[in-house]
Amino acid sequence: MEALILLFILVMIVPVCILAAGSFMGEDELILKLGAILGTGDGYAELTLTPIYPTLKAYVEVLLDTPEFFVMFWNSVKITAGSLAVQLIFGTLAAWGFAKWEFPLKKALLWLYIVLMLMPFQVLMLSDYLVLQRLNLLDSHLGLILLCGFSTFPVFIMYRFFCGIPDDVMEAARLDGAGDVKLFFYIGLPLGKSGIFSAMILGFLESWSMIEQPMTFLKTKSLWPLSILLPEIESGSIGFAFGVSVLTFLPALLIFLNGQEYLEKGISASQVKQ
Amino acid sequence: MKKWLRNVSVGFLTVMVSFTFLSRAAASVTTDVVQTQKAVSGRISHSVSVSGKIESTQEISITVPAQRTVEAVYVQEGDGVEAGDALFLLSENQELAEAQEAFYTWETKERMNLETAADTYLNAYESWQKYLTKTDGWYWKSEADHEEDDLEEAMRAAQYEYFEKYKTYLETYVKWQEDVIENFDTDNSDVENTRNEVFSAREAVVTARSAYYEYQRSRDKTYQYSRTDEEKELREALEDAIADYEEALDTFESGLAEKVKDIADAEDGLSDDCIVYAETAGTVKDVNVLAGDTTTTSAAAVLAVDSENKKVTVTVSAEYEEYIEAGDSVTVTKYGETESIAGATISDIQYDEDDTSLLKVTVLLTSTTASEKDSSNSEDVSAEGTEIVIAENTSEGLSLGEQVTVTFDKQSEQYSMLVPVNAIYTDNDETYVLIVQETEGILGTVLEAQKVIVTVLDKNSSYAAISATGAVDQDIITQSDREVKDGNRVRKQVS
Repeated sequence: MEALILLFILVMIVPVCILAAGSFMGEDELILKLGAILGTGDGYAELTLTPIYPTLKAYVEVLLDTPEFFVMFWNSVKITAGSLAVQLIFGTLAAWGFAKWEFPLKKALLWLYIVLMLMPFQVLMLSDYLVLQRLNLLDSHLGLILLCGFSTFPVFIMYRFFCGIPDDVMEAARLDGAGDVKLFFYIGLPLGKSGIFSAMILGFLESWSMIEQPMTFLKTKSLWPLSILLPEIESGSIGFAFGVSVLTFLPALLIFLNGQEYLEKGISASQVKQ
Repeated sequence: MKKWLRNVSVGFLTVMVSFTFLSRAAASVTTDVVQTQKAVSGRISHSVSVSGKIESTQEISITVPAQRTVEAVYVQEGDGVEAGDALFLLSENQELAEAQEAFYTWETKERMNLETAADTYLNAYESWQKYLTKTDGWYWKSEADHEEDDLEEAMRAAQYEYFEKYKTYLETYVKWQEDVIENFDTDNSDVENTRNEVFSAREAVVTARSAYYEYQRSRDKTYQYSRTDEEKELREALEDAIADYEEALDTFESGLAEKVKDIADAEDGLSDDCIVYAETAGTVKDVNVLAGDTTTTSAAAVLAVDSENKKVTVTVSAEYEEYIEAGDSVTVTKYGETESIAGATISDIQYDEDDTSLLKVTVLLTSTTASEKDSSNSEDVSAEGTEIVIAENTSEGLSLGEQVTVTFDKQSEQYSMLVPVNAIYTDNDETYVLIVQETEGILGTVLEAQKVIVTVLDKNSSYAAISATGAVDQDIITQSDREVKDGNRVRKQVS
């Protein structure tokens, strides 16, 4: 069983290692090893974890010769931070309401959230476009932020965590004179912190790597996020593409590593509460 | 969160922030800084300035007798000469030389005969004189006899004097001939003086002889005093010697007159035959002979005569051929001065015989008066609204050989798009300009160089007239700090 798990781990981690190794290879070495994939050679691609002639040329090219990378990087940061902020404000409130309040058509609305969460972007694309157009938010970061900020997925995640908070705690707080607002800020948020962070982390990963929404709703190139840069890279700049990929992947990795603890706590806490 | 993870995250963020600025700085360094200019309308001016020297429009060829040897050349190209100045020295005339040689030969022979006759006379005279001296005293003579003897003495002395004068005359004449040949000194005043003395002496002889013979005739012809046989022989010898000398003298004089005439005929124009003089004032343009050359019938030299009209011949590259036409006006400026002399026109255009890539252009300078041009007839855009005044031509103020600058200036037709020449690029038979185009990119609105294919219609060293498929309204890159290619990001230089 452990061997099987280890095998899966290797299968999952090898592409990342190849990506990292490739970012330290020169253009010639990459063409030599990946020629079959790039269409410049025959046979099979040779995947190696150690470059023969390591070089930092790709990173130099990305970090010094490509100011566009940083424009798009900070666009991504702006969109992601905005989306997370909206999710934090409105998502948590929505999730708290679903978890702790009773109101008519609550289940129907929750089911609607779930249905919307399951729908792919292509289904909702047209309606989203029309709404943004009506609001004059097309080709702007605010439109994208609102679109991602009001995503239903974080609501669902946090809803499950808020549901795990015992009602006894709520009753005790009410007896102490806490109102709904105090219950939310002093009971709900601290106890649901794990869930909130989990939702934020998952929301970050979703916002950081979204491609369809920026390509659909952002026409001005200066507003594009980093996720669109890779498709714009020419096929002759493989080393540059590997460097961009690593630098694009790093923030997500760091966020995940920083939030891994909360993810684990959240999952285990919910189980204990059950 | 773990501390190291936090530090890595902070470090990553710091790196991103730092390189955000560094990449911008690097991009600004690598961005081409360009100077731009919009296309303008106007004309292409084809102007070329060349230097030349003022020449005369009137030239005289100096010819010399053929088959002569040039002994010396007294002038060179560019020298100014006056009328009568010596130009060349040629060898002597063969005919004259032969006449002179014949004269010398004859003169030597005849003079020897004359001198022999003179010596004979002198000896006879001295003998007679000795006899008279010896016998005078014991031979009684009457007073009339003494008077007759005195007259005869005077006659003999006059003859002696005459012969001496003639001898001196001959020596002077020979010396004069030598001076003419060697020193070209034709001054014959000494010859004339000695000849006059000869004539005076001859008249004295005639006078003395007439007096003697008249006295004899006036005496009684029957009276004769006895003379000794010796005296008779001496007197006969003396008479014979006189007769021989006078005959030799007559022969010499008649022959001399004839020989002198021959030499005079050969000497006719001696000063013009050996020495070639300038007939008029001017500047030596060409000298076609050197010392030692044998002359031919072609011109030995060309003299440029200073005249009212002048010309200047300059050499320009044949690539300007289409911009220079006969009849075009040009501007002539004295070397080192700024004031120009307008009104000069092109009179002739020829290819250089030695180098067909060059043109020899002759510009004629004539005297004109001041005139005004109506700008309404002018096609020159730069002169719109102003009157053009042609300054008075001062070709008289120009001297032959003076250095001037000739400027040819021709304006082309009106073109709608003129750009600086350095804005034109050529690559693989493709001529293009680079315009600055605003493009929307990830960095926002940036300026990029964009290639526009053009056709060059006309150009000079500064501007070129172009035509493109569409109007080129944007700024055209004229200069940059480095090579700019199509698609390069650029930045306009702030002046």
